[in-house]
Amino acid sequence: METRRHPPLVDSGSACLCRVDSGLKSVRGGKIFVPGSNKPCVQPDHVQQSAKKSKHTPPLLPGLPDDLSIACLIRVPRAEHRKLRLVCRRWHRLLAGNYFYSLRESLGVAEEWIYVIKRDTEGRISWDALDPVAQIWQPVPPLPAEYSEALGFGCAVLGGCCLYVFGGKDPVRGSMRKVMFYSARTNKWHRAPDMLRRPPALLRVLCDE
Amino acid sequence: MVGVKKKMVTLVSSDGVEFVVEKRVAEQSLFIKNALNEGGVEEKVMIPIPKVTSDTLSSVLEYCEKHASATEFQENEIEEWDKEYIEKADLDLLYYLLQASYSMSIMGLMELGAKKVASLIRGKSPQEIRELFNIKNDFTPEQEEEIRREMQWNYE
Repeated sequence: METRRHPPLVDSGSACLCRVDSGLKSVRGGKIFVPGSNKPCVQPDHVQQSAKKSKHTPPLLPGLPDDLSIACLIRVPRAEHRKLRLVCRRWHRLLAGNYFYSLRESLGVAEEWIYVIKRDTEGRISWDALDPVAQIWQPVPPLPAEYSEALGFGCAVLGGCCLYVFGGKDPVRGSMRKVMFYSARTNKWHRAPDMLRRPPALLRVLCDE
Repeated sequence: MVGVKKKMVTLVSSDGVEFVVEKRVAEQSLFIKNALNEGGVEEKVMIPIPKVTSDTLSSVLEYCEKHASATEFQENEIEEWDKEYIEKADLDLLYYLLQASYSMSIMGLMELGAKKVASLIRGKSPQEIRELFNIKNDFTPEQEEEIRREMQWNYE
């Protein structure tokens, strides 16, 4: 049986790693004898692994086992992440999955951004995000047209990555049941199920774990 | 002058080179520390370090030596030293250091190496990243265009 004798560089458990890609296990059963030790020590067998893997999937960083590559990539600041998706398919898949971000969170390298809402003189709303570390403002894609002039809607952030806007009032059509959310991971607005009733006015949105 | 006798251990690199180092230096590696503790061996220990060549091991031990004496330095002195140490490494050595620190379980060095690789990505275009790390662009032009379109709000 395989054992890990020391804390792994990234979050433990090959089960987690497998979520990204089934070929990510790096600890193999290479045994070496340590004098005086009654147990075999397990060393990662990177060379064999990468040789085997290369037939199927290209490595994330050629020359480095994938879990070490992930340890490097999760330390790239968030402001650079969208660009990483353009590098190759595997990076795109890695960045689009939940695993990458949950790992950043569990290792304490996640970065929080501040999202602000503004309304222009014609009544259209838009969002901007502030990266407080890099001190850079980034625009959030525009809200879908049917929501872009809503008044008095509610907002909430869920799961650290989804920004919800609820209800509100369209200047022409009146109050709306629509719910939209922006995902920071996909950088897109998505539609959520409508609210049960059309609220005359949305007073407050509460959210908690 | 006769000082307190220092406990030494011998580490053997994958290419057979022996490094005799102080136990407290070697113990910066949890892998070695555990091996020594479990063995209960006092002296004349030889520990093979598989898959770590003498060049890499020598660089790893330079790190271990500094960090074994970390208490003698101010924290910012160590940080400064780390910065200079990792700055010297080219990409090949960085990869070797990462793999060695992983297999030898030297978390500080691994973190340092991973941060350095991450910092190489900063400010580079996707194409520059591919060139640096020798990554093949396996997107079709259509796929690339599609992703670019999705991301356009951040490419102003």
